[in-house]
This record gives sequence, structure tokens and C-alpha cells, in this order.
Amino acid sequence: MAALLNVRLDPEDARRVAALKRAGVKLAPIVRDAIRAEHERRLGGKLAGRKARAIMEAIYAETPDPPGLRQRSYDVRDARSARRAIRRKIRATRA
Amino acid sequence: MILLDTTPLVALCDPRDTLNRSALRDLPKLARQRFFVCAPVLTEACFHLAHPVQRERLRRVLASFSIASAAVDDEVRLWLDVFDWLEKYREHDPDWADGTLAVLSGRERRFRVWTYDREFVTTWRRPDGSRIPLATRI
Repeated sequence: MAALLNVRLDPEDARRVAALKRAGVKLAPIVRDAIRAEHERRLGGKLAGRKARAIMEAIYAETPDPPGLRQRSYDVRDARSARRAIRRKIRATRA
Repeated sequence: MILLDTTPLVALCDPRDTLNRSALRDLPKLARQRFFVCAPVLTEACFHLAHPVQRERLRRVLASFSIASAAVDDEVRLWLDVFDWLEKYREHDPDWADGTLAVLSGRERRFRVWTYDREFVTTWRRPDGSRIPLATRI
């Protein structure tokens, strides 16, 4: 069964609601959209963040490094070192 | 819209990478937005992630975070623009991936580049000379 939400309105908001109803506007979808938007604004980022962390933990747990895997000898940000590594690999492949 | 550079991708897929902690710290903050990656960045990432286990992680990261292709319809035009960009910055010895990210950033203004490469702050600019918006502080 769907939950019902009761909201107290001051006279000004009550007048606005009455005017919207007279104009044929359905209020329930507006309230639902507002609730969803606020939920996303306040909690959406936290949920996405938690999910992202959980995804990465699962990936690491399911794909562990094999024993003896050598660590990269250069910094990926260092383009010159990376190029030297590429050249080494090409030479090794050709040899 | 987050456009991924090689550095965060490699960092996420290699827990021993010096930037792994930074990438894991930044990922949750960025994960609400849509991720995009281009072929040159994937090519670089596959070189740095040489072991099958590391590449499997990369495949899972791409799939789990629904990372979309930043491919464009007029790819040849993109290549020519990248060549122009490389020529403009030739004294700084840029890579093809750097040029592709800079040109894509100029074409899709909503892209913010996720990188740990400081040259995106200090040196690289869009083809029109404007700064490349970044997804995180470097």
C-alpha cells in the first residue's frame, strides 16, 4: 500500500494550491518529483560514492595481483620515462 | 561529463600505482557524472597495464562505471586537429593522447578532464587557447 504524506499549508500556500487545482494541475506528481530531486541532491552523491568504493573493492578482491608481478619501474606521468619503456618493449619484441 | 586521461585509469587498475590512493579518493566524488574515454588513452593504459590481470581490472572498470566512448563522427578531422595541436606545442613534446584530450575538450565544452598530469594545468590549452577544465585539483 502506498504511503500518504500530509503537509500543513499556511494560507498563502493553500491559496496557491487551490489556484493550481482550479487550473487542472495535479499536485501529487509535483510533490513526488520534488521529493526525488531533494533526495538525489542530498543523498545521491553519497550513494554513488559508496557504490563506487564497493565496486573497486570487489574488482580488487576478484582480480588479485599474481605472485611475483613486477612493479612498473617508471611514473606514468613522466612521458619521457614512459617513452623509454615503450622503446624497450619494442626492442624486446623485435629481438 | 568527465573525460578520462591515462593517469587515473592506470592508477585505479593498479593498486600499487603511486596515484592509486588519489584515484580512489577522487572516484566517489566524480562517479555521479558520466565518464568518457578516447582510444589513445585506452591504448596508453593497456601499455602501462601489461599484465592480463591488470587489463581485466581495466575492462571491469570500463563496464562497471559505464564508461562511454568519446569517439566522434568526423574522426579524420579530429586527427588533423590533433596534428595541428601537436605542432603548436611541439617544443613541449606532447603525446598523441594529450592532443586528443585537448582537442576533445575544445569540441565538447562540458568535458572536464580527469588527469594527474600537471601539464594540463601548466601548459596544455584547448585549440582556441582557453584553459582545459579539470575534474579535480592536481
